[in-house]
Amino acid sequence: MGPEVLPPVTALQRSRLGTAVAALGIVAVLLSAAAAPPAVRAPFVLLTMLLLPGFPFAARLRVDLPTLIAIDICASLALEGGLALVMVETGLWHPQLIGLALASFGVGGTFVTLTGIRHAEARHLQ
Amino acid sequence: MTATSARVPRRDPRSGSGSAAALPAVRRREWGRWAVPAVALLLWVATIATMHPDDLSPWGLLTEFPAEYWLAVVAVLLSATVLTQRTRLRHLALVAHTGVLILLLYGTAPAIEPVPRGTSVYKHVGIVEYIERYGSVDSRIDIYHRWPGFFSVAAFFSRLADLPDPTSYAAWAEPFFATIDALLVWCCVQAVTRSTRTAWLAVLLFTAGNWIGQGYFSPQAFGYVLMLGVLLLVLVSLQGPSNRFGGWVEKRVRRIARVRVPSRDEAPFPETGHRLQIAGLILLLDVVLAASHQLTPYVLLLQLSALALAGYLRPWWLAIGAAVMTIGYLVPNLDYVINTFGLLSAPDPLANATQKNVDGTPILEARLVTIIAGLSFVSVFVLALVGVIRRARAGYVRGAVVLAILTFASPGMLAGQSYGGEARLRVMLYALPWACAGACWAISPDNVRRAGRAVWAPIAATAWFGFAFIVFYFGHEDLTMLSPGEIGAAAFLSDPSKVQPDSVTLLMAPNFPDRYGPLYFRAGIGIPALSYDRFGVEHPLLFPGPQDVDFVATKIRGSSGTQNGYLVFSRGSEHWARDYQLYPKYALRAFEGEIARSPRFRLVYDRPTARVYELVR
Repeated sequence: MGPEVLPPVTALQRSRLGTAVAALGIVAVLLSAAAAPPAVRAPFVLLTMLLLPGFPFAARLRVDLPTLIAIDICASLALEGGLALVMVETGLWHPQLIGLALASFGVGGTFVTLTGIRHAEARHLQ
Repeated sequence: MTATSARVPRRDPRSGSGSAAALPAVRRREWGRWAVPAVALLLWVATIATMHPDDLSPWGLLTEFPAEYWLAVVAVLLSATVLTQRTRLRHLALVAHTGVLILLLYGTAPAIEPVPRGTSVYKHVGIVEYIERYGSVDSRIDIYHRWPGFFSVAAFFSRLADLPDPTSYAAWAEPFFATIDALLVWCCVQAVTRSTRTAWLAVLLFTAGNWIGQGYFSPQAFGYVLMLGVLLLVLVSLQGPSNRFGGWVEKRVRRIARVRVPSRDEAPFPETGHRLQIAGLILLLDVVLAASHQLTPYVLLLQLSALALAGYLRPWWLAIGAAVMTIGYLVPNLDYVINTFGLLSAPDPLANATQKNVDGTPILEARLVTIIAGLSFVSVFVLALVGVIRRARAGYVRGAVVLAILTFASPGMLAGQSYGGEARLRVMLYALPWACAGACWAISPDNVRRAGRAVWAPIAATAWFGFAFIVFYFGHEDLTMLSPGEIGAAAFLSDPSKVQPDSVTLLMAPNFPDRYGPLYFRAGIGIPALSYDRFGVEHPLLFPGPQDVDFVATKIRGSSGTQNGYLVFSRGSEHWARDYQLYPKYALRAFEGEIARSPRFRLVYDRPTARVYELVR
């Protein structure tokens, strides 16, 4: 029997996923700014930390959907781990500020990446 | 809508009946796929609503689970395994099955126990709280402050989520990490085997077979995710054809495995992205991993080095980069590691694999649980070996060699470390994802589904893995479960406003969280468990009397010349003493009675499940 693997994500899937992840990040930031109760805020913060920062990188890969999500999670954890380590080792502990910067990077990077991919595909079709 | 459901004839609206009997057969089968996880979820909710474990027997939770729990586990495992062997894979249904299985296996203990299980969790919580309080680490305190990657991320999350006390979520770390691990294992196995069918079966085996219990709130659980992430990136994006050495290895494998069919084309090496960007991400993952856990980056380094040596990792210099990151992080901490623990525990792999990590002699129940775990350990590696050989004999030599490298690289760490007697467990942990893929190949080397009666093989494999998991994971729960009273005692002993910095805490068994809270390091030191091996050889505790009280007082004072000492009696210690026969039956209770009556000790903390006595004279 030949290979039996999932196909790479389509542009539409990537775009929808990216929009959902960016929206999740915006909601998490708004909940934090509004000092929402931890029971409401924590799930959004957790999902955002798992998916948002790494998405601009993962979205560039031509892989299937589960693999994209898995790489997204690992890339997000690596970015957060790297920044958290820098904060802790230097003693410059500003988690809220760095969290906001990461969310901004994630949302901005996601839209830049998705736009870039759309343009590249449009050029390819021409 | 699927093609199958599109062919379902419409029901006559005039019939009016919505009963299942009136549904066409195809529709009923659609229902069936979702009914099992849905019913199992309900049974799980019923289980956790009715279970309130308190004083457990030596069988742990095994004798406490109601029938509905067992029914739910068996139904989900059976249904999921059968689904993996269907002609057409239903990925969403399999996701639902796997999710419910994770809840059943990893979510039950946190759902029914009042506080997070396991003593190490509380030490880790203390370090996270330290970072939250001071915004930095102090490498003079202990080894955890020198490898702060995981604790930094946890403190980062705690602050962003406004959950300053990590114990509020730490208990759920096990199902959380199990879910991410399952996703990563699925992706890794798909990349190696080029089969989603094999990936699903491997995930079931992995989820049902990971009884090692290292997925709790810990650096190793975090490091495991990062390690699988690196290997996923390598397998998906950075694989290459074998070099001259790899070709030689493949030829040897063909000869040893007596491969009689020509090699099959099995590696298309698709271009998935910019290789340098991917290599950069791998190095970032490796830096965070190197700063998070002491052991995991070395196992990863072994795997990457072996892949690079055979040419399967392109660019090969990535292994050098990983070595620089890993060893570069160790160098500034080398003196501390050598002086505190020793870099290499012993050069004898056999001794490292067989070193005991608990004192005492286990009773029959505990021994049976350990025997089943040992059989599971052996079966995992035997199945992996059989799978690799069968896959090679089917003509897929390259893939078989890659999987063999990933599976059998982790035993390499036995060459220098016993890791406190846990090395063999860690070997299995690191090999498990790949061994599960190998086990799938042992069942079906061509990734072809097993139909009809032949489906017994995957069912037997998942049933055995699930059985071993439940027996080992829940069979020791009497030693792992903690009570709020014990946590209160731990908080008391780790509070510098109540306990002098030069004080000593003496435990009756090792399963007490002696370190808890952000200032645990200022609240004295703990003497290793007053276990049968250490205490009994010097001074057997047979018929406790005043002489035993004097002996313990001398031991506390003599350990570091301190005048302040505490003696802890807890429910967990009683269970440990019972399961490992540290003291004769009832000796511990009688000894506590002597301590309580003695003027040398004063009761300073009293709860039904934990008492703390202070040495006053």
